[in-house]
Amino acid sequence: MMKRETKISNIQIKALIVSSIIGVGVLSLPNQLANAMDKDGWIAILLTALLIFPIVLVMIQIFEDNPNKDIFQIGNETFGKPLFTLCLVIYLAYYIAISAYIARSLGELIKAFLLFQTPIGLISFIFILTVAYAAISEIDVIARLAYILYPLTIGFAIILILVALPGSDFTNILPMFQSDLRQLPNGIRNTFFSYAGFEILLFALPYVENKSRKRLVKASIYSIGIVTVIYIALFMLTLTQLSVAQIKADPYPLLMITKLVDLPGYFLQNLDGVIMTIWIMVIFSTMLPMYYSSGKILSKIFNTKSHSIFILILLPIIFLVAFIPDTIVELDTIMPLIINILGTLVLAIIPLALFLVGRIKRRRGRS
Amino acid sequence: MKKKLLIILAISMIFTTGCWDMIEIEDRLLPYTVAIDLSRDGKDNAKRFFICFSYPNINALTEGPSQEDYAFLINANADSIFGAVDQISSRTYNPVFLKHLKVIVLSDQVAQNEQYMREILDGLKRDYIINKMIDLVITRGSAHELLVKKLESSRQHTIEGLFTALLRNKQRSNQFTPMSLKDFIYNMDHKKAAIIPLASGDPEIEIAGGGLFKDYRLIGFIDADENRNISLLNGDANTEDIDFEYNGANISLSLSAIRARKKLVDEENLKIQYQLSVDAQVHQYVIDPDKKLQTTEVFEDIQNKIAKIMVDDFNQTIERLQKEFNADALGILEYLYKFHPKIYKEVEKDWDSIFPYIDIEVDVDVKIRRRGLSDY
Repeated sequence: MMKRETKISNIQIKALIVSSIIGVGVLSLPNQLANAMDKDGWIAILLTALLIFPIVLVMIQIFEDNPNKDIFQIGNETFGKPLFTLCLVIYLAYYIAISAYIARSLGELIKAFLLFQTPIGLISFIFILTVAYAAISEIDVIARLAYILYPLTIGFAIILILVALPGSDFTNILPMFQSDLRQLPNGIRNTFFSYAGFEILLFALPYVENKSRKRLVKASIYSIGIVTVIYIALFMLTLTQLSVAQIKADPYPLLMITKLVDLPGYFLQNLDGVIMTIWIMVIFSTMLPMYYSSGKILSKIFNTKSHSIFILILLPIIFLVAFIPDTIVELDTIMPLIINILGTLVLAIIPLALFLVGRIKRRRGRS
Repeated sequence: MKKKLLIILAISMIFTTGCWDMIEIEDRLLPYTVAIDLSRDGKDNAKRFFICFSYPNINALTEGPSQEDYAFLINANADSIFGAVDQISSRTYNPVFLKHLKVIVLSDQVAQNEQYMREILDGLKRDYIINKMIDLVITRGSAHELLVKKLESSRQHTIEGLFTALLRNKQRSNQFTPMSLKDFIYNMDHKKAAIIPLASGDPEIEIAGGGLFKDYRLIGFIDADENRNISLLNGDANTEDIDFEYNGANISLSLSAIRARKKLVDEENLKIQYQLSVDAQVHQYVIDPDKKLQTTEVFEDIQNKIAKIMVDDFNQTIERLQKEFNADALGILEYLYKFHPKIYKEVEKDWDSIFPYIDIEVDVDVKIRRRGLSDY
């Protein structure tokens, strides 16, 4: 099936990380931050970014320790087949949960803002179908697609900031450093999952063209830095527009801001439609690597050459999981809870274990 | 593979044949103003509000003069705006679409009821469709009659509606300060007080002064001068004209580059000092060889006089806000919250009993920059 060589360039890996991370959570991020730490939520973002770096370094180091192998070979060698298959199942569950959450949130928001009569199931289904079509491709195609959508992800933030600036009051950022620092762990716990998505490195790194450690580290620091800057800028923007009490009460403060745009001359108002349209593409590029990875995982578990058949099998599964929660309240409480539990394993514990066990085994082998 | 793709594409056509949401823009009813009165129905199970929408007649907005009415009114008794939309839908052939709602006019009776205000504003804020920059306006008496008056007004010929045009007017009048839904809620959160522009329809539509709100309840009215003073102190005003008698003749000055700064000068006794710096230009004085504006002494004398007039005026307004209304429309609580968070934490809970007694001092610094083209 695979005749050509799959290769990802360095700039594509940057784009892949940025567009995987910035996704459905960005609309509600200011709300979570304000709930945890009032106006000092940006401290939590900054600290989380600093927490993410070591994990990324560990991921790069795993591939450094095992050159020319992909994650499945490394996992099988380090953990043994049964244990690693369990890990893969956890990854799979995490990806299905997060994809379902994305598809359902998208459906709910599109229905609320743009298509009032269209059935929500259809909106979500068509979205999953579109992602599935792209997810059939190999990782290099996905990286290229991420590279195309990357300017949109950044543009989403820039457009939002530009249109909202005329109505901002910058003194609203004050007072700073007033919150209780004991809330910091809580804030970090909330923001940690806004950075979910960088684990695509595990699947993408073996295919990177230039594997020099320095360049990879640089690329990942750069991309996580961009995400951090965007998150902080959007949080500050929300502060300049709304009172803290309002941010705490609005589930999607950024969408509220699009409704507050009021540039002189009436011609720019009600930008929610425009922003939503861009946002759909932003979360498309978030869900795509996850969908692809879950297809890849299944194909490795069942030892098939191509993963495209599993993409089709996953389609109805994601769709059904997306519609398990009845109401939006259930969706916003249960799904993040499941994603948080699985995410802690997927984002931090399994990669760290993989690294440590690999190191210990190697040391024993040597002695 | 290609055949498979072709089949999938062919099947997908089934899904793309129709659109659930397609409504042409001329088939929508787009209200731009909504007026809310208390219902006059005396029945027991009566609805609470009498709600009136005003929407443009799109046919009459074509080019050239038209014999048709520019706008229509449609009203309903309902418990909420959304209930009213539902009621109306049985009487119109087009669906009502609230996305372009620009102004909401509340009668004083509605505004005096805290619960009603909280409910109406929540509905506006919660809705996915309604713009959150919608302007709030209150009126004494019936809001519905105000809309009827608006229809008769000869100045109705603006597409976006008379109220919006007045509220956004380019001259930036200081007689009223526009208040959007977003700002109102922000003010309620941080200042616990806000001023909504007051509209009246006698003899013609006019917006001047405002209704003072505290904790989502209308507690009183202020006139245009007081509104001007408050917006000057809040730094919202850009230009202002002032007339007074100087040396036996009327002098007319235009004030510009108005900058206001609040400062907490005494932390223990909570003394707030306002510093206003203003540039002035002479508009009109008098043709009289004995009265010329040529020496620095004359300028300084005029500057001092203006400053005194303004300070006296400010003090009256501040006194009224503190003693009569006990409403912090000046945003002193917000200022403390932003710049003196420690003091804020101490005073926030008892602000109602503290605000009337804090010492507010106003300093006005006027500089006459220009005296006009001729000084005859």
